[in-house]
Parts: sequence; structure tokens; C-alpha cells
Amino acid sequence: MTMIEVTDLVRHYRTADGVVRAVDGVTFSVAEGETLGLVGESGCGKSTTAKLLVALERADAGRIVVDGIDVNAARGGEARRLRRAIQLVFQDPYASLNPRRRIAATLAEVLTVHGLARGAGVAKRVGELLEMVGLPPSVGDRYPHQLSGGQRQRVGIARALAVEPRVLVLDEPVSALDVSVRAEVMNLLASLREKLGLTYLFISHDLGMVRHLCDRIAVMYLGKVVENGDWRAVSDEPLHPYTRSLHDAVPVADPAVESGRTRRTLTGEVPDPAAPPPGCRFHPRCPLAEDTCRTTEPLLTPRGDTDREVACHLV
Amino acid sequence: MTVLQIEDLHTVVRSGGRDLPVVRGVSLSVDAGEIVGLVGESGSGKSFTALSVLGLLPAGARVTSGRILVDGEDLLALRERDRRTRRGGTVAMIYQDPMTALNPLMTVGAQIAEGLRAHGIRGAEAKSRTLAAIEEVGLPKPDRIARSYPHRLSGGQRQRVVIATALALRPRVLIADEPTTALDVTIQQQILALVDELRASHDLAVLWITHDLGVVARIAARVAVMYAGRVAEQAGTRELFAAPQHPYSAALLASIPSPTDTVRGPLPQIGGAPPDLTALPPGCPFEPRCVHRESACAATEPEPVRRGGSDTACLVPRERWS
Amino acid sequence: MTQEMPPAATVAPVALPAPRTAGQPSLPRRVVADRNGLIGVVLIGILVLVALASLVHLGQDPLAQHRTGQLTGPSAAHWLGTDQFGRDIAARVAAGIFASLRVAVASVAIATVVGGLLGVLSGFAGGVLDAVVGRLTDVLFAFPATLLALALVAALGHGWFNTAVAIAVVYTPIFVRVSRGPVLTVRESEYVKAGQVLGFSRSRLLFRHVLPNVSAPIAVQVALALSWAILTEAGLSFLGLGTQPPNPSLGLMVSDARNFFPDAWWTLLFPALAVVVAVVGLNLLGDGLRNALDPRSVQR
Repeated sequence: MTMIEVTDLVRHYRTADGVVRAVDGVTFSVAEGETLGLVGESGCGKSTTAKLLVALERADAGRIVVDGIDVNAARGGEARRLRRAIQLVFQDPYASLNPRRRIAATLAEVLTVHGLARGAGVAKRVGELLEMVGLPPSVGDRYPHQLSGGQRQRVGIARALAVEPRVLVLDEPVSALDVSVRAEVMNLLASLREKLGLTYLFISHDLGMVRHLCDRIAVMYLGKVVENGDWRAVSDEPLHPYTRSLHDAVPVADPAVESGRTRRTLTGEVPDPAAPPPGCRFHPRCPLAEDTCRTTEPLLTPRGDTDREVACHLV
Repeated sequence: MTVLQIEDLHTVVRSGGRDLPVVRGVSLSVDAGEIVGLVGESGSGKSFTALSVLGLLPAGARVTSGRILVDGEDLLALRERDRRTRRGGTVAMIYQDPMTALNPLMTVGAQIAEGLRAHGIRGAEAKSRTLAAIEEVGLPKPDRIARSYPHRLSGGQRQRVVIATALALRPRVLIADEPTTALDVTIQQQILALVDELRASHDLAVLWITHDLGVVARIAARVAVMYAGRVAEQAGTRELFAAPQHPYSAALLASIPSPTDTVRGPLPQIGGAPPDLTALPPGCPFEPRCVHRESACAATEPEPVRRGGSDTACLVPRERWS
Repeated sequence: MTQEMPPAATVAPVALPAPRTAGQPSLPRRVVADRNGLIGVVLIGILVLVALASLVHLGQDPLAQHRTGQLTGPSAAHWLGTDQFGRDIAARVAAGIFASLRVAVASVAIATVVGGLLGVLSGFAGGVLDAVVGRLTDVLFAFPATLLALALVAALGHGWFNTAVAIAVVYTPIFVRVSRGPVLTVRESEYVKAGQVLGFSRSRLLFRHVLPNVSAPIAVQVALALSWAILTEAGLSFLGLGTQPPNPSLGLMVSDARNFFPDAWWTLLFPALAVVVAVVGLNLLGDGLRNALDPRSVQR
């Protein structure tokens, strides 16, 4: 069953420098229980996509359906159902918690607003949520500044789980954490996914983490999806020239691998989303660019009989 | 040839009426034409080590003992006036956020020239050296770049300008504190390639501070891993990654997913939390979280010993690891 | 006339003092820990006690005139001397302090409630409300503060409450601005966005998440506003526009004393000193509050 269905999603921002086409026609879907990784660099639109999915912003065009609910059209009761269906875990664990509230109060508020617990049941459920994310109940009495980064992020996850969602959007959930703490949070996410049957949209620039957790990977560039497929395929045998450059650019924690690599360094700058190049948006930096690339925008099309899709004229 | 030598550095920070030891006896060296990676997490003391070298510690922090030798001269023994001439001229530093490193109200060329002027180079020579520096960091049309304001440049361009400013004075040592952490990965790759080239062409000694072990694997010849204000392990990059001698380095490396994994099980995690510097245990600071600990580890803090190609501050050799 | 102190306590939902964060001393203690704050608290404390003493008619009658003993210097009978009508200066200064504090507290209370509310609402809601409030405050800011107060008092007439209203009108735009800025920042914080994603209503986000986090700059501004109000009230009375004789007022006393200076120096020094102590004390209290509320000074 398809849990997330995104079709031709568009979000433009009007700024002093022109219209920024942050998300410019994005289509993908995520099946129930599946984890889709969304990767890309700054300006690619992955964070904006996350915000559109959880209705923090409204799309200008296109459709998002989450657990049968049309996100853009949801009002009143439907909107409330949407909040229970999909939740967001933020990147910065400190900024996403109210600094003046104790942890237990932060979690309890979610429960009371949604009517999920009452009276003595609230404290009990808060304890259960903390336990679910591997935190002792004493954490409830503390304030965010008294917790470590890893603990705060666990609280952020607990808060998102408080509404018992089907889908979690994870926006760079470990990027702001110390390296040694990332493993435990990733392990927690994996075990929660298994235990609760969750569907994840995992947004990150860290290809290693994406490869580790995701079933499928979608690569975004300047507001569009340029490649989409099974995790092993996109990560280890990328087809799109941008995905290959990304793959080449990511440093691997293994000097033997590093010295053995032949690498084509991508020239040029990360492009300006307010002025995307004509034709294929990647063509100014693409080592393979030909005339068609400069004039006609390639569509995301399947390759062979696999579920891999690539937006390129040449591969 | 050793250019930078840090000997038994101790730095403290004043906090809540007490002196917090943030650097507790760090010794390391960097040779000319070599990149040494300094790896550590928050609270490890890596940034304070870098700032101590330049004498740019924030208010409330000070070096309490140790020597910092650049070409044999102890920077800590100099008067501030003399140290200031070494700053920029002999030892240069670049930081993580290029936007705050550049004055938004001055053109980029003016800022590079200002650095030159502070060291006695002005006029036509300053101008030509400015343009040469910009060109050297791979920015085309140096004249146009020189006349631009920082906000008109991209993150990668700004970081290149920062590097140009640092290198215009031909320093012997470059200290880089997480300069690519805030950059996109494809831009990071460009900057890494650039620094590696400049290291070779200028015979620079580079101390590269980062938390990213992949970056270290890519450009560093040697690595020092810091934990709780000390160097836990120091080795050639290949040796460290192939056979880490300190349980912390080993645990850190193990916790990073490998791109060649075919089976994706739980990642090995390090339990516990980094130590509280106000209440350090008497023995090895990593001991409470160490899976290979022995009874002696909690008693005294280990001094570095040479083992298997590394200098490691650990009592338990790899053979004895459980 | 009864007083309620501190004025911000009457202003809900601006939270003051700030909730205690575990492991951190309470706000009053933190203010006192700061040296400026301590001096400020002591000075204002003394003034408040003196004002209260005058309320309960301790000491001499400030209005009682004597045919003999006019313009006598400090003595055992009259600690601060007597004025040209033989009235006890100590009693008049005490009563004057009370009068000044009353006006200051009333005016700042009004300005905080009205200005704070408008600022918070316009910052949070944005749109037309924000634009309208913005233009109104711009208009008020265009007038020089003291002149505006003068004009309003002249228009409204005598009486302490009218003076308070005049000062409140001048100070309201400042509170609008001081409360709007932090609201704009906090509104964009991730924890407010998290609340949105979790389905919290706008009013919940405003009152339970945004407001408590903007109370700090408002609190500091209250202290500074009080000091300005006291100075302005003294200035207005000095010009004859505030409290009318024979009621005691510090500004009026200073104005009258000009005729007797420097011979009967006590008629000028003590009321002037009272104003200085009040203004300095409140400023220092404002400093102490600001340092105590600075999140960077939070002890872990």
C-alpha cells in the first residue's frame, strides 16, 4: 500500500532576487513500511519537500497524499488526522525543544492536545514514550539544556511518536550530532521502524547514513528528482552524472579506498535556484553534456525493467 | 622537516569561578608539506588547541603551560607584539564559516590587501599579490572577484577567498578549523583538492581539524585523535584506520557505516557520554565507556606509548582486547 | 491609595519572574548576584520603604506649615530641614517619592499592557494588524518624547493619573517595539514550528510558547521605563505641569528651591537626590535584570 504519494509537486518563493523554484515538479512515492532516502546538496529542495509533506508550507501546485489524506486540501478534521498520520523530526535537537519547558511537559502537551491521554494516564504514557526511545524516566524532569545532543534528539523522536504516526519525516536527524552519537540514534530509528511498522522519509546529505538505513534513494538537484531507485543501485552503481559526482565527492573513512579512487572533481558552483539553467539543469557542470542537454529538459524515466528512474538524455 | 611542534600544551577556560582544563597535555608535530588531521568531537579540546597556537583564545581562556614551536621559535614565550607579527605571517588560520570570517562591508580584494598591509606590504605590490592569491585558489577573473563583496560570492568561493587571504602572506603553517563542514560535499571536494595542491606547491604544514573521518582519510598523512583534552592516539593515517590502537579510535571508526556493507545490521555504538571536564575521573577518561578496560585503567591516566605504528595513550594492547 | 508591586505581576500572561530552571537559582537571586542588580535593588528598596513610611504618616506632616522655623537647616526636629513655609522637608521628600512612584508605576503598567499586547499580537499575526500598529507607533515616535508628554499633560489637565496617562502614551510605542522584535524571532524558532507540525493551535503557540520566551526583554524595558517615567514626572512638575501645590512633588520642590539656593541648600539637594537615587537605582536594576535573564549566563 502506498503511504506517501507525491505528484508534480511545486513550491516557488518570491524573493528580491527573483522567483526561487525550490521544488519544481517532483514526483515520488513511498510504500508502507519502506524508507526512502532523499539526498542532495543545498538548493536542491529536499528540506522544502519535507516542509510541504508535513503541511508547514502549502504547495503551489501538485499533489501530496499521505495515508489517504490530501495534504494540501486537508482542513479541520482532516487536518487533525493528518497531524496524527505524519510527523517531523528536526535537525537541530536543541532549537526544536522549548528551552523553558521540562521534557515531561513538552511530551505531555502533545498528548493532551490530541486527547491521547488524560489525568494520571499522561504521566504514564510520557514514561512509556521515554522508554521507547531509550531514555530513563528521570529525563522528564530535566530541561533541554541539561541533556546531551543525543538525548535531545531522542526526545524529539519521542515527541513525534507521541501522536502515533504512520510516517516520520526525518530531516537530517543526525547531522547536528557528534559522530559517536550518530550510531545510537540511527540504531534507534531502525529498531523503532521495525517495532512500530513506520514509514520513513530520510533526508540527508550524508550518503553513508542514507545507504545504511534506506530501502530506496531519490537524488534531488535544483528542485527536481534526477535519479530514483533501490539503495544498492543508486549508491553503488549510480547512473545519473550528478549522482556519480556526488558519489565521487563523498569522502570515505578508509584511506585505501580513498587513494585508489579515480575522481572527477565537479567544477563550478552549486547553482542558484532563482536562475536554473535551461534544458537539463545540470548541464553546465556535467562532464557529458551535449546539445540536447542544453535545450531540452530530460524527464524522469524508468531504465530497463528495474524500478530505477533517471532524468538524463545520455544514460 | 618539522615546522610546527606543540609540546605538552595545557589550556584552561574560566567557567563558573573555576578553571576548566580543556587541553591537558597535548603534544603533536606537523612537518613541512604535510597535512595532519586533528580529529575529535565536541569537548575534545581540538579547537582550543588550534586557538592556543595562535594565541587567539577567547576571554577567560589561557595557556597555562607548554611550548608551541614554529621553526624552533616558542610562540608562547614571545611578547604579544612579536606574536602578532607571527600571526598571519608565519601561522595562518581559517575557520568553518566563511561568511563571518569576511567583513561584509569590505570588498574581498581590500580584505586580502589589508592582511598584506598589516605585514608591511602595500601599494602596487599588495595589489599584484592580492590578484595572484585569488588566482592561485582557482577563482577565475581575479580582478572581478577582488572588487566583489562577500555576499555576492557563493559559500565555496568565499572559502577560497579566505584561503587566499591566509596564503597571501606565504605562511609556514596553516591551521584549518573545520573549513569544509558547512560546505556542500561537491564543493568540499574542490576545496580539499585545492588545499592539497597548495600544500605541495607552498610546502605548507597544515593542521586540519575535523570530526569527519572521511576527510581525514582523504587528505591527511597523519592523524591525531583527541578525547577529553588529550591525544588518545596519533599515527599515520593508513596505520590508524587499518589497526587503531586506542579503543576510542577503534569505536569511532566502527560506528561509521561502510559503503561496502552488504548486510545492514545495527551500527556498533559507544555507550555512555563524553566526560564532564569539571569532574574528570582519576584514570583514563575513556575508561567508563571502554569495552576493553582492565582494572589498572581507572587508577592512573595512561601516558602515550609507541605501539603498532601509533603513539597511543592506552594501557591495553590490541592483542588483549576482549 | 493602594499600590500593587511589582507592576508586571498584574500583567498576565507576561511571565515574571522567569520560571526556575532546575539547578539554577531563582530570578530574584540571580538579579541580586549581579553587582549592579544588587545596588539597584537596595536603592529602590530604600525608596519604597520611605514612600511607604509617608503613606502611613510616619514622621512629620508634609503639609503642615509653621510661622516660625522657616528655612532652617537639618536638625534633630527636622532631619532634612524645613522649606520656606516651615514644612518638614523629610516628610515632603518621602511623600514626593511616593507620588513619583505612583505615577511611574501606573504609567508603565498601562504602557506595558497596551504596548506589550499590541506588539506581541502584531508580531505574531503579521499582516494588516502589524502594518497598522507599525504606522501608529511610527507616528508616535515622530514626536520628541518629553514634548509629547508635555503637550498631553497640558491637554489632559492636572492630577497624577492624567500625568500617568500622558507618560504611558509616550512609552507605549517603545513597548510595542520591544515586544514585537523578540516575537518575530521566536515565532520562527524550530520549537514553534514543531508545535505547528504537531497540530497546536495558534493561540496555544502564542501564549504558551512564544510569550514566555519574550518576557525577558520586556522585563528589562519595564525597569528602564520606570526610571524614565520618574524623570519625566519630575520634569513635568518642575515646569509646574504635574502635581500642584501644596501637594509635595520632587520636581516642584526643586523648582521652588532655586530661589533659596545656595543659602538654604537643603531645600534643593534632598529632593534632587531622591530623583537621582530613583533613576540610578532603576537603571542598575534594569542592568541586573538583563544580565540575570541573559540565556548565556545560565549556569549548568
